[in-house]
Amino acid sequence: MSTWFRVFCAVSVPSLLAGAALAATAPAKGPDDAFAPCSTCHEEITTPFASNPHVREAATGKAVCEGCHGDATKHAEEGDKSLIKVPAGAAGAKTCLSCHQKSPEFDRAAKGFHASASVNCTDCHSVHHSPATAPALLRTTPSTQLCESCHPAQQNLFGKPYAHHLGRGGMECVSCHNPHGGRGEHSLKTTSAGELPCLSCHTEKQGPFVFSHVSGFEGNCLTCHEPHGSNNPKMLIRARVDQLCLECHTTLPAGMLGSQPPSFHDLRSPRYQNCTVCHVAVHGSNSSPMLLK
Amino acid sequence: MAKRFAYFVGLLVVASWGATARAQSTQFSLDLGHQWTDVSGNNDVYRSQVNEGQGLLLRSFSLTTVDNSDGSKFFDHLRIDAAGIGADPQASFRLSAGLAHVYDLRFSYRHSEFYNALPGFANPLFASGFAPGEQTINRALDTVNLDVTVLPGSAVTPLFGYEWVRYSGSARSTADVGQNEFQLLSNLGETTQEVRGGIGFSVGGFSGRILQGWRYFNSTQADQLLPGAGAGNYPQPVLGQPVTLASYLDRTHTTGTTPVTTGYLTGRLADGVRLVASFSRADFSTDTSDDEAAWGTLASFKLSRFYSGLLESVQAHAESLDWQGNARVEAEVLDGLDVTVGYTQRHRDLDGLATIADLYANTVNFSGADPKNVSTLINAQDAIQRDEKVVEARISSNNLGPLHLWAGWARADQNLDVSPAAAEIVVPGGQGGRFDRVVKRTSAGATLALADVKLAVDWKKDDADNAVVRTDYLNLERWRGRATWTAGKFLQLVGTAEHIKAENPTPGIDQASTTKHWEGNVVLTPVTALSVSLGYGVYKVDSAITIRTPQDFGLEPSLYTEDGTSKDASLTYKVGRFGFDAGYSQFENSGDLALKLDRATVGCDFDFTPTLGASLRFDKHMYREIALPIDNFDAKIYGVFLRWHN
Repeated sequence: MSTWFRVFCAVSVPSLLAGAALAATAPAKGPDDAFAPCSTCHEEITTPFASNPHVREAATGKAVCEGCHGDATKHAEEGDKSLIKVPAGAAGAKTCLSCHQKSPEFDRAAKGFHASASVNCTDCHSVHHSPATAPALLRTTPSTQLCESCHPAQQNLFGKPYAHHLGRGGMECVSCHNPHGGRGEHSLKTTSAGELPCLSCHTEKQGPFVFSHVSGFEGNCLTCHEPHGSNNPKMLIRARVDQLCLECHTTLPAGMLGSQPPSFHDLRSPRYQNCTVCHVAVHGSNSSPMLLK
Repeated sequence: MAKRFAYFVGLLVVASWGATARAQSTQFSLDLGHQWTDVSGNNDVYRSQVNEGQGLLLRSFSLTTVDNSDGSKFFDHLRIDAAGIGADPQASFRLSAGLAHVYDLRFSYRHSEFYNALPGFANPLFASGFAPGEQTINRALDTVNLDVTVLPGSAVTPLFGYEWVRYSGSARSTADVGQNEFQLLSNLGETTQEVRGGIGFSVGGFSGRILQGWRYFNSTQADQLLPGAGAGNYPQPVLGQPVTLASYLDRTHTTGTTPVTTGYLTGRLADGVRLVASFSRADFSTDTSDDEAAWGTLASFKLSRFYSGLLESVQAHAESLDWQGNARVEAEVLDGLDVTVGYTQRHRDLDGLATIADLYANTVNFSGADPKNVSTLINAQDAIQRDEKVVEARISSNNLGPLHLWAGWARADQNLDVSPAAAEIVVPGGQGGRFDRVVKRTSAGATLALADVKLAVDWKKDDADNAVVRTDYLNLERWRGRATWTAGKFLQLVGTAEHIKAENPTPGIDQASTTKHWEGNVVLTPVTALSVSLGYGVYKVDSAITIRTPQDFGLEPSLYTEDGTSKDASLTYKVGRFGFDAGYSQFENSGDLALKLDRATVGCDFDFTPTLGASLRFDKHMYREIALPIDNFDAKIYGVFLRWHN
């Protein structure tokens, strides 16, 4: 490991320094020419576009507009709207993806629901008219507003009393979901190790544990927890802890994993209705086979 | 704190001035002020749910600057966002900067405080008036992320990243010792770091990324007896002897190293045919040492002895290899007809080894005779392996004008092998073995996009041949629908519905659950300055599964219901220098955990000048629980903020 780490440092540090040096002496760009001939008629679009991230392509010498709208020569000559390509709808998404799907974040974007006739790139992003304060050229900010406009039911789950603090501390829908299509169900993002996004914050539950609760293998965090919001203070999917535990830990029928009963505990006693008072390490333990610490 | 807050805000102000003076195009806004809270009722529950604080608050800051002018510079775009700095326990700071074709940098910092202390949770003593419960948390999570891309857009792009996560703070917990439970004071300090480096490439129609990372984990937890908790939860004697603790100390130290490799490749195989492949491999391992010392008057039914001291030493090692690979081909087989075929394989295994050495000091048998020290040694070894292979196919049509149709099919073969350690088994049965499950999924959907109307519906059905754990379904069916109608800028109607039904009718399990969720929203914008929004939602859950109660081996259904409604209304009005907004929402559940939660918010803004203004905020939260009124609280949050923007 240490050898790899040294190799990593040996490569990364000089590269970063080289990048910084290049940055300091970067060649000048000339975006003024980049909008020709479109700026003649569409100045109201091209002028503010000078601060658009897409204009950075001007440094390569390309005409910026042509990148998405194609060759504008005929359109410029005749002024006919039909002679210019206007990316819109599902077909327009292909224009965006021709550049953007090169990275894993857009892995499933082309065939995902958010690239259909009903929803596509320009429903959330506005290349020309995005507010200046909006990241990623989003139509509105914060980004959660966009998600909520189509997913009001999910928005309401955050209205339950115990919920992730959406909109505070950098917590957004896109903190856990990839709107362009994630690998897992619900377009969930994963950590670099392929884990659910829950573990990127709740690191103490990453493990691996010698005595792992099997939900780490068969099932996942969502087997017991409501991720958006819950009426339960620990965002559990049941009202009481013992109820949640017993639904798996019951000897009926035999042969199922985890069907061992919880010993001889008398669930009529409050002592045994709160399983986690003793089984505190319910997510997994390295010290206690019974998950007691 | 106030000093650091002032430095931070000062830095942002200087950055704003500097950027405005230098860059071609700069937008910034800063919202800074003071916030007060007034909570009556249960402050612990307020903090567990809302947890907004009192004091100076940088509510939001945003700076975007772009400089495409001639000349040397360190960046051509810079964006800084900050929110919640100061009185809000949830704070964030993000910076992204870059220079075209030279570098892109993204940095983020997040701070979140986790507070949880509830009267009715993990509280066996609630009936005797003890509150809050015995497991509470008051910890903070700090996260730093840095990602740098060098020479973006080039054929070969070096990539570097660093992540630092610190989770620390105090908590209350419990220990099960000598036939009694004792409250503990727990302190945790845990750091996870990940460094990663690799390359992105774009060569010959193919592009991708290979990243190698190393995750380092270091955790220390120290637990000690809470002062005054030596009598334990149950002061009743065990076989005539009270079970008490005079002292308890437990220190756990865990370290872990995880190399992580990820790869991604995409490219055009032929006209209309695209290949996408990805791979990830993580080789987790942790080493743990745990030392526990408990002294008091204690009892063990396992040893059939009383004892006065327990010294436990644990050495543990766990390894887990986790890899997954996916490849799929997306092809346009006919004009407007796309077919996607994919294969995914996932593997995860765990090998755990723990040596648990216990010394029971000064033991006597239950008759008070045969004094001696007793040592026990457990070598526990367990293993779990899970493999999953998924084949999937999807066909979609996109040349039917406004109509888009798709259908999918997938089959997942899951195998699980569990070899538990003997120490994990109290009553044999159901702890280990091989468990296989095949899940076949059929799905379909349609969307219709007309000028003012958008409709979407999708359906999914899972059929499984087996259940591995009792709560696994054999059949699951889900319907979702969404309709949107827009009448210019004047009116927008959105309706959504979702029905999920899952069941496992196997005798003895009898699992059946349904979830129904409907939502409707209306947004009226009669004039540009005024917008009114109304929403109504219904959320219903009914779940039943047979369980066996351990005290009498009787059978009974475990029932859970939610019967929730949500209502919300909001209004925004902005004219000239004046802005006003108000909102009200109510969530009510009459199922299990019956409760009612009302929230109201009012705010107004006024611009003194085109760049300087002020805003007043007022929020109110009213929480009512039907079964546990001790949880109720009313919270008012007031704020006065100065807004500066260009």
